[in-house]
Amino acid sequence: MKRIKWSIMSLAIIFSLCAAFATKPHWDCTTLPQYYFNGSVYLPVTQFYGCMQGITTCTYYTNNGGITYAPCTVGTYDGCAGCVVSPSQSNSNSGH
Amino acid sequence: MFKRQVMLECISALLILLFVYASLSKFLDFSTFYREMHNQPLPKSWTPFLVWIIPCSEIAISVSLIFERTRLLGFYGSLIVMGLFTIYTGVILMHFFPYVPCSCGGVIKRLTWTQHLILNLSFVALSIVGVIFQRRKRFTQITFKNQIKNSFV
Repeated sequence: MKRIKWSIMSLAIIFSLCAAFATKPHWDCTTLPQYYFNGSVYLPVTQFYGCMQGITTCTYYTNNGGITYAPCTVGTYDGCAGCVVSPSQSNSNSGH
Repeated sequence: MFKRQVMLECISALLILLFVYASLSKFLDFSTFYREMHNQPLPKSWTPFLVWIIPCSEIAISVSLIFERTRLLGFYGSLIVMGLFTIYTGVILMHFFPYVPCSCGGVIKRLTWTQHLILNLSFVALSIVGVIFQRRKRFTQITFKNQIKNSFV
């Protein structure tokens, strides 16, 4: 029984390790500056941007100084993912 | 008895497979994981803790599932973690939060939230079966030990 147990366990561990390394992105485009397309131009992303669920391209990157942009992340771009405006902030803003 | 033991080993192996894969893929692409966690509709102050707590607890559960002594604890841990993930997925699907974030974690990130829910529910069910079988096994072992003790007295 011990032999069966350790065979199953080692198989599971080896398989999961291989799968994790095999599916690891070889080159991560998110390490480069990210841009989003606002319909006409590509703009740098905000500090706390997020990609909501969607099938379109969320952010792009460029490796030729902005001549061409390639898709990087998938989803719908949100400039301030989950930002919550506190009531005090909204009141002070409306006052101006 | 033998059949149940093999089933227990298979359930443990499946859970180990899931948890080791999920934790390792998070560590291997940590910056993306951090960004995706930050993207979740949870308080932003939780992110620095969650990015360590989640993968570390997954590894701890995997290790405890390997050894016979800690296996029941591992099944309970797996049930709690998968239960929490399932509740979170359910809450996301019910549009409880103001927006629906992307789903994360290796190949699993390619799943939609509905597929995520089905996957999570299956692993919750596996954990429940594991807890039941492991408890029964323990009970049988204790009863057997007591019988041997009594026969010598």
